[in-house]
Amino acid sequence: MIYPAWLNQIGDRNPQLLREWRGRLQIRSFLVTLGLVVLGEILFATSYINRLPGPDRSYSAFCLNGYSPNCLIDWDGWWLSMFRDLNWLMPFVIFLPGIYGLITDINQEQQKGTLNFLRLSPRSSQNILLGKLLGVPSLPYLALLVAFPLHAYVSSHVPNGLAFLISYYAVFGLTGAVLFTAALFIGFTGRGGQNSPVAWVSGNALAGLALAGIFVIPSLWTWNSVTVWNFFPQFLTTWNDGPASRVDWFTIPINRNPFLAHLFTLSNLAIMTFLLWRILQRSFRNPKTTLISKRQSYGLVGYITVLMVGFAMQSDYVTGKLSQDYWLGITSLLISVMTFAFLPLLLSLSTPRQMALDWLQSRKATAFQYREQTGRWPSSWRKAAVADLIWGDKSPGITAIAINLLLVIIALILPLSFVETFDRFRAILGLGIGVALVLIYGLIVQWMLLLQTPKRIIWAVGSLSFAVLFPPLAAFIMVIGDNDSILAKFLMLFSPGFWTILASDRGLSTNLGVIALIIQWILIFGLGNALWLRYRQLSQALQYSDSAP
Amino acid sequence: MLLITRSLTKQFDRKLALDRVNLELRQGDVYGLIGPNGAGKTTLLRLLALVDEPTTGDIFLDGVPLRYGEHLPELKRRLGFLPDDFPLYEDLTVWFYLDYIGRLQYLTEPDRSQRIQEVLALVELESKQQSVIGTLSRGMRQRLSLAQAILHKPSLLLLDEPVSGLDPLARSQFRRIIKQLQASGMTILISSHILSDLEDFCTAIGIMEQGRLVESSVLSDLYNRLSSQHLLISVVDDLEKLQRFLVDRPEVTGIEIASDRTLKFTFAGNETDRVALLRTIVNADIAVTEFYTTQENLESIFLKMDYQRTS
Repeated sequence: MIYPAWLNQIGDRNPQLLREWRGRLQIRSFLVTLGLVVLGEILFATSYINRLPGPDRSYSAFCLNGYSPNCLIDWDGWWLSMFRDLNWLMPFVIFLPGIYGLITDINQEQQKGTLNFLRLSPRSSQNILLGKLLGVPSLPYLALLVAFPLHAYVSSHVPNGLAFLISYYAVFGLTGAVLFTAALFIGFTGRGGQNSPVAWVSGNALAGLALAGIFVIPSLWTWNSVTVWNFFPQFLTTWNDGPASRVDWFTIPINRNPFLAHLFTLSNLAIMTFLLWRILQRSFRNPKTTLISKRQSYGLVGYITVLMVGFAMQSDYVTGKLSQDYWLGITSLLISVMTFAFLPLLLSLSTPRQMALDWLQSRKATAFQYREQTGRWPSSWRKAAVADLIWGDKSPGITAIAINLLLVIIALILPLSFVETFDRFRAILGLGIGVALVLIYGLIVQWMLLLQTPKRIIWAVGSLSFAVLFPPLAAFIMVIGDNDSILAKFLMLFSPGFWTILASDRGLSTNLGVIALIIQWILIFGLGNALWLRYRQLSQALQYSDSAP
Repeated sequence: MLLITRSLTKQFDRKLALDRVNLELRQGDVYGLIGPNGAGKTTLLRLLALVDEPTTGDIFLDGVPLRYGEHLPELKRRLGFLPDDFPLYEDLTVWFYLDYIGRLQYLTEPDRSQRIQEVLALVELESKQQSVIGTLSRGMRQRLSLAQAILHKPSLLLLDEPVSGLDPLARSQFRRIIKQLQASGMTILISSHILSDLEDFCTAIGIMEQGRLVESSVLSDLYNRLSSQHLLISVVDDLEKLQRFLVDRPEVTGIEIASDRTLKFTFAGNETDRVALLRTIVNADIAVTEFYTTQENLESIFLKMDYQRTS
């Protein structure tokens, strides 16, 4: 087949993109997409035309003079309402099919085994993934192209419509980059192999779709409506209360200045895309490793921590200084979120059994080799082991989890010094419990991933779920019988919701908190020791010997 | 040496799939890898093709280390791989598939189209270039997979059980293609269960067992060392004279009477020695009617070695 010169050039630069276009932009699917979008637009416009007053509809929401036979049509309101609906509809119409398409495409390639061909090709992972990112959602991109004229036309009928449209598509583009990169990554998590800690996610396409449709897109658009589009409140909400209240980041108001608001949102979307892109590239190049590297986890946790601490530092309305009340509430939220955020991180960082064995084997072989050459064991053995535990991809993940926790603690303790009215002891106690819980969860996950059973991922997820859910469930049952059960409160200190007890229940003796903390740290030492023994057992069981073959 | 592996090891859980394999391939070698199921042949090929990561050990291609997970465009362009399950894109036509592979391998027009024509002719799929891959037979798909592996003229071609599941005609077709590639100077590492095929075109053989490369040598050396040669000599009438004549010769063992006029024995010598033997017999005035040599083939050697090791 002969391609036009420009397409041929694109194909030479990015063969994957040409392959995806060729596979997807068939005349039939092209016409179906075109037809569906045009039909959708006609239905959308018709529904709005039908809402205008007519001979058989004397009442309309768009009558300036209310219920009146001689209705004065509120054309401004009509166009605005249409524009508002389009602003909300567009991300769902474009992003959801794109996300679903990307996840299923990667799943299919993995099932067929064709993804290995791409990995073996001399093209860079960047080139291939970019081809996927631009090519797989070709039909949603086409839909966007067809839908844009109506959006632009409607925007021309509302005041400041054009300025909003520019801002809208800047945010839209970067949001798409984040969501589509994340979709590709979710596709890679359903690898189906035993080595992937989250390979149990079989319906990952549907899960990704539900997550984006129910949570991510509505949250992002709500966030945008109070920050970056705070200057056009009427284009997204019907509240008509004027701009939203002030949102600070490190006490800097980020929704009071259009430039700052755009800078903040767009740069954060760009950082998220960059981080996800790096994680994705690694996942593509090396599908049998942990989902994220230790180095990437430090970057990711560092970024999320700075972002969260920044939001915890809001200024007081009256004094303009750091708000003590805000700090209290948001810090408690922050600690709980961090505890929950660490759960997926534990699964992403913990090394599966095969990788642990490879690591042990490799270390053993290197040591034997050194001894064969020099007659003694390497002296830098321990030093190398520490560096490996911090940075190495195959070493156990628990050290990296501890380092990530350290990052969070530093970030939380630093602003604690600004708080005057806060019970510092309780705050430190809370931090200690949070750290202990994450370490306990991490040790359980790592332990389970070393089991010999092929269903070790299910065991890891099951045990983690049990550890997270059992204490609050047991506490809940106890509360039914005794509303003020001390044991129930004590049990809650072993769950991610511990902060609700520490922050709200002033009646709870801090001694009880200290006892919980001591028990948790005893558990950590016990589990840590057991894990170390497990590694030793595995190391001894390896078939490697220093005898000649 | 084109390819060198040093102590290549792969451990799957507690099973040592590959145990310190040291392999060396010279430019132009056609190296046959044989061994029972589970011996580690596929694992070795997957490590060499960078599909899997070795637990320990190194691979060097022309002296440059090949490392899993790294972006090595120059080295990857020198590798061609045909896995045993040969996955293909069912929805593409033969031509577009090869065009796509060619672009991935940085081939540009007009060389790309020309090269696609060449490989299609080589694998005898010229008439199928506009067919959708999903409609091709197993033999055709196998040949198409081979076409994608050789499209960019790799210096090292890795073939994992390329003829398994093919009918005799398709196997013979495949053999012919490999011989043509061999003639073009391509270095080939091929694993197969069908030893008679390997015997036909391999220059060197490696025998794998329980993850170890237990034997690796040039085919002629292997025959000289491990293959027994049987001679059958028929005479007009004086069988006893022939037997007396042979019994003292050091290179002759295991003499047995095959029929009333034929002797069968094992002969430890090469072609020149055989000529010398025949000449001596004739000079000794023994009337020879037939002189016939049989050599143990690769399959017999393999079975014998396997027996030796497992016993």
